[in-house]
Amino acid sequence: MSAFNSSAPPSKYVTLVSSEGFEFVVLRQATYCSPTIKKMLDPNHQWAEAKAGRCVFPEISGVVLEKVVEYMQYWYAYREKEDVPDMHIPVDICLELLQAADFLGMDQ
Amino acid sequence: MDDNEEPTLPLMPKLPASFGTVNGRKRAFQLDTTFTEPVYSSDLGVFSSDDDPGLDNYAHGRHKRRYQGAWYDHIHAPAPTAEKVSDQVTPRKAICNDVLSTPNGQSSVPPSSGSTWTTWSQTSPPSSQKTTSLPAWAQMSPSSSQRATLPRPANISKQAARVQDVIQQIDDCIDTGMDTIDLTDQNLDDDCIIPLTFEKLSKLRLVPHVELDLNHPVSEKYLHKDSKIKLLLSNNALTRLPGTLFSVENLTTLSLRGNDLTELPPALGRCRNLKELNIAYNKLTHLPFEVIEMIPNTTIYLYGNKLYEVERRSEEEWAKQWHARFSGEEVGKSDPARVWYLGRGPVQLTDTGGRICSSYTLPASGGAGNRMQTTSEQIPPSTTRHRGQHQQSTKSSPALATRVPSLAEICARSMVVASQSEPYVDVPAGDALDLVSRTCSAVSQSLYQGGQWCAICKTPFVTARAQWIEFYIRLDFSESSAGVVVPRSLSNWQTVGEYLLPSLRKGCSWKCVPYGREPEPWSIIPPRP
Repeated sequence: MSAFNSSAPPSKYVTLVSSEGFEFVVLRQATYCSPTIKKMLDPNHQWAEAKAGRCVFPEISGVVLEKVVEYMQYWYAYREKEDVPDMHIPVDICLELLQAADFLGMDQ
Repeated sequence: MDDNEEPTLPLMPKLPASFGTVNGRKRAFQLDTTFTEPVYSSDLGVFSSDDDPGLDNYAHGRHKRRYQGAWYDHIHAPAPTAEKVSDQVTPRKAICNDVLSTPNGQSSVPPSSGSTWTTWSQTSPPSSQKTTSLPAWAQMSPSSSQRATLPRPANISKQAARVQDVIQQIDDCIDTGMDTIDLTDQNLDDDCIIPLTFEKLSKLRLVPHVELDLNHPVSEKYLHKDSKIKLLLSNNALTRLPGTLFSVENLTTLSLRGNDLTELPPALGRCRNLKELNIAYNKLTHLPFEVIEMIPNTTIYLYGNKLYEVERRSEEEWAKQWHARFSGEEVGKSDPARVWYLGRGPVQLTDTGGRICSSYTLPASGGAGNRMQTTSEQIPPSTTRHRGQHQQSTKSSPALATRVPSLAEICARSMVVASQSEPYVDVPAGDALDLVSRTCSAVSQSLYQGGQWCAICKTPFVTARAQWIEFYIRLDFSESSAGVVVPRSLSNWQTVGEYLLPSLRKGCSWKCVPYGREPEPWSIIPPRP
């Protein structure tokens, strides 16, 4: 039966962990807006992240990762909509968030 | 406890290593002072006398005082007198003008783009030195002795002198009441013009001129006369223009003839009173759409630019299109616009970092190659994978066309909004190709240009995701009793080709593209070198 486990459909949610250990449980589909996370979670690659459904980001602090997760939900909710409201980002985390966006490949 | 002098403080919270280097809006700075402890903020702490239960706070009435800096710097310091406190200003603003100030000490000159290092490096952080008896803010106020010791590289002061010179000339014109500001033939380059150069002009209001002439109706006598400013910047070496120039509301004539401009900022559209625009003999390859919109009300001199051209079309095909376009009811008598959209080129798609993701690339000026066939236009919508040489670096994921801006773009917009109230800061573009520096330079460019708006959804954006060239033509219709008469000569392509006006349009997302408006994009010829 264990052979079936690997081919079982992966969980609908994944966990993102910040450097301080804050955990964010996010819809798997929403995290796909980051090509990096999508690759990490690709079941074909058999990486630890894909098996456990849990990605740890030692470089990203909790404040920034929270905003990243907020963006993921925002992207997921409006990606097919025509009328997209603005998302607010406090200026003081902009640079850190940009670094995280660079790492996560979120420039699409 | 070996250090009894210092009051004990609670330990600083443990912060991650990245916290000190990148700290949001607080700019990182490099000071050559050696610090004994890591510094997390460049801003001085501010606290009031209420925090200090010392007796002399209550001796001279209850005037609340504000201190700046670490509180333990003040604990042994003499209390500042009330006058000093009242005129205390944040030292940053005062010092940032310093490098640019004239020899006689006027500090009316705003910081130029090249001197911004002073803006952010002068606010020294609270140090724990105990050798000083003055409070920290008093040491940091711009005294004349400190002014002399400030490092002042020769090129910066020279450039500052030129910036000052331009501002002085504008000031002279304002003071003497001349409405023509003549800055021609002065060999001005980009460093001589800063966004705040035109600040006084944009605030200029003329005093009403009262004439004791009985022929005038009374109501007109006391009215504000709109100033009609003519700004002549011809025969200089400018390659770009600050967006603030176009907030000069009463600008009626602007001459930029004989410069090296490659692009005009979209903020030009704010000049609603512009009657004459001379952009002849520049290096423009296209016009912003705002200029196209101005055409009916403005005289525009365009010759001597290497504009994009369109590959020649067959005459029969064009005649057919022409009749379909202009014989119908579209040419209405009531339509005041005399500029017509004729067609567009293929769309170039990029990501927020500026990498090109479509197979079509806009031709660079002077380049003979890269003449894409029109059939190779790539449609980005949701199902197609994006191809291109950057496939490895941009992760080979399917790029979804969505109206949601990218995370980097949202950050950039937030930075632009936050920086608008501050003086313009030129973030050096740098060699680094990472997203952070590219976004920062895009932000600074957007601030310099005065913003841009999506051609489709009108949202202000920082980085264009889609770019294409549209072609317009100016037509002078003559009206007869039967309706509008289109000049026949323009139904042959040869003539049309010479009058086409290329306009670069930008979209803020991969969905903000002009598909469906034109069945087949035109093939664009890059401008001849």
